Amino acid sequence: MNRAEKKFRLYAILVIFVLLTVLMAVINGVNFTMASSDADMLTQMIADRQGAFGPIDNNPGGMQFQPDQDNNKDFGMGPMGPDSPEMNESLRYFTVAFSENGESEEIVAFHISAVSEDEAKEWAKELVGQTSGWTKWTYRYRVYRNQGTTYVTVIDQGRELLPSFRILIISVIGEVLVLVIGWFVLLLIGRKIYAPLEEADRKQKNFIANANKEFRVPLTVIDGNTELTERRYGPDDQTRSTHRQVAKMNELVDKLGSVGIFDEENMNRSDISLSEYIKDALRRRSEEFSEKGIALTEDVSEDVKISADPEAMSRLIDELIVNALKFAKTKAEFRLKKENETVLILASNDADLPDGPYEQAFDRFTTLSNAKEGDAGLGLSYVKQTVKAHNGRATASVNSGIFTLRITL
Amino acid sequence: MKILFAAPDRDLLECYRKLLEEDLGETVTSFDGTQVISLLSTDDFDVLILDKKLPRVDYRKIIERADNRMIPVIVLTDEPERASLLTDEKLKFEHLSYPFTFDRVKDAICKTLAEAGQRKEKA
Repeated sequence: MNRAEKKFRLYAILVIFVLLTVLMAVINGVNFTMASSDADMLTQMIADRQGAFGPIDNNPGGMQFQPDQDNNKDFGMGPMGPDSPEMNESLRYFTVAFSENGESEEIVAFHISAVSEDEAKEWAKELVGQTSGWTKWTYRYRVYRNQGTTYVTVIDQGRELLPSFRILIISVIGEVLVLVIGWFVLLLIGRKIYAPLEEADRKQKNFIANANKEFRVPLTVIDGNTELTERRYGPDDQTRSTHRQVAKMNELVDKLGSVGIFDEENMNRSDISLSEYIKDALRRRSEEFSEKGIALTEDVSEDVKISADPEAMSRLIDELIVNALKFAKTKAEFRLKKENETVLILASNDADLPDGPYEQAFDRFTTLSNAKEGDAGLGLSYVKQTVKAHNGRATASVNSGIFTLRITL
Repeated sequence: MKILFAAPDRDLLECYRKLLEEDLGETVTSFDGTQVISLLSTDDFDVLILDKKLPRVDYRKIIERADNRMIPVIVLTDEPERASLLTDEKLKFEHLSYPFTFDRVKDAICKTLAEAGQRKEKA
């Protein structure tokens, strides 16, 4: 399994994980919200009846408040909801009424077996300052006032929440199972899914490699024959032009040959001083910048060392410099610094390009709108490939008219 | 100086035969591996310029034959420089990757002959 295929499988399983998690979160979130809403409806009904549930006749020994007839007329409606006629028999709750001085006046706790009157009183005291919410995991409470009396009603929603918890546990187990099965399925059929992508990439590389090879001998012959013509008849504009065009083609062929050769497997890594590499390269080509009227600035930290393929890294730096030489209008800057364990190379220049990200600059045979005639669009493709082979990252963007290549290694 | 230039492309052979003869000396060309083996057995050459893709005979066999006759070899390849570096022949023989200029061929010949001379002196 190659690296790209592993990446493909990881992304596939990640997508499945995210989709399932969102689905499970929505289902469980809605379920829990509805359970909370039902509980709130019940506590509201109790609050509307001043601390007791159902008709006053159903609360012998309870608080002797007059039931709200308007609300009471709806009581008992609906077979399944909180206003079901059976709710009167199954609702587990207690209400504690507190006078203005904080003393408990009345306690209704005979509708619940798990809580004694004393426990209800203590518990309600803790909730007096609140308004509503969950307490002790499965109990929903509401605090309300009426004619100077503060009521605290707590209802037990344990049984009502149990299905929600079961759905949550089943969701989690289901998601884990789907991920495990999904991973095995991807292992089994991933090859088939990935094969067309790999094939397309292989064909592209083969095409480039073959085209590259097929150009090589004819170019040598053209250049040789031009040399012979010059010897016979003397050099003229046509022969010089042919030499120039052949040189351009040679460069293109050379770049084409480099694209696709470097990958992680055939890196010949060794410890190199990137600082020296960049300084040397800039020193060698500084005159070219002067000739083109480009102000060159370098801010290269001393002794930044990395483990890299020396030849590839040297070529990469050359490509960055060539890029700046081709596209800078008046200024170019090269920076190298080390932040913690990360090495950062910044190559920037002023350019006639609108602001924004320019990731397409790294695509093979892609040129930006400021490209000049003859640009093959391969230099930055090589940069990206080499950076990738060194497990780094390369980005391109324009900000305030400054084109910046940012490489982290 | 006598040069044997072996490559499958006839235009290349013709062009380089003329250039090499003008600058360096007699040049024999061949586009057939069997013929090269035969030429190496019968004639004396100062240097062999050999394309890796010469048909009919594997280029390594030709190199072996040239090595036996103490003839230095320059190997021509259509692989990029980097790929050439990955092959072990680089350790023993001069490589030239297409496309190249005539000046590079001349430089390679001079370098190869100088190295061969040094080896002979040491021997």
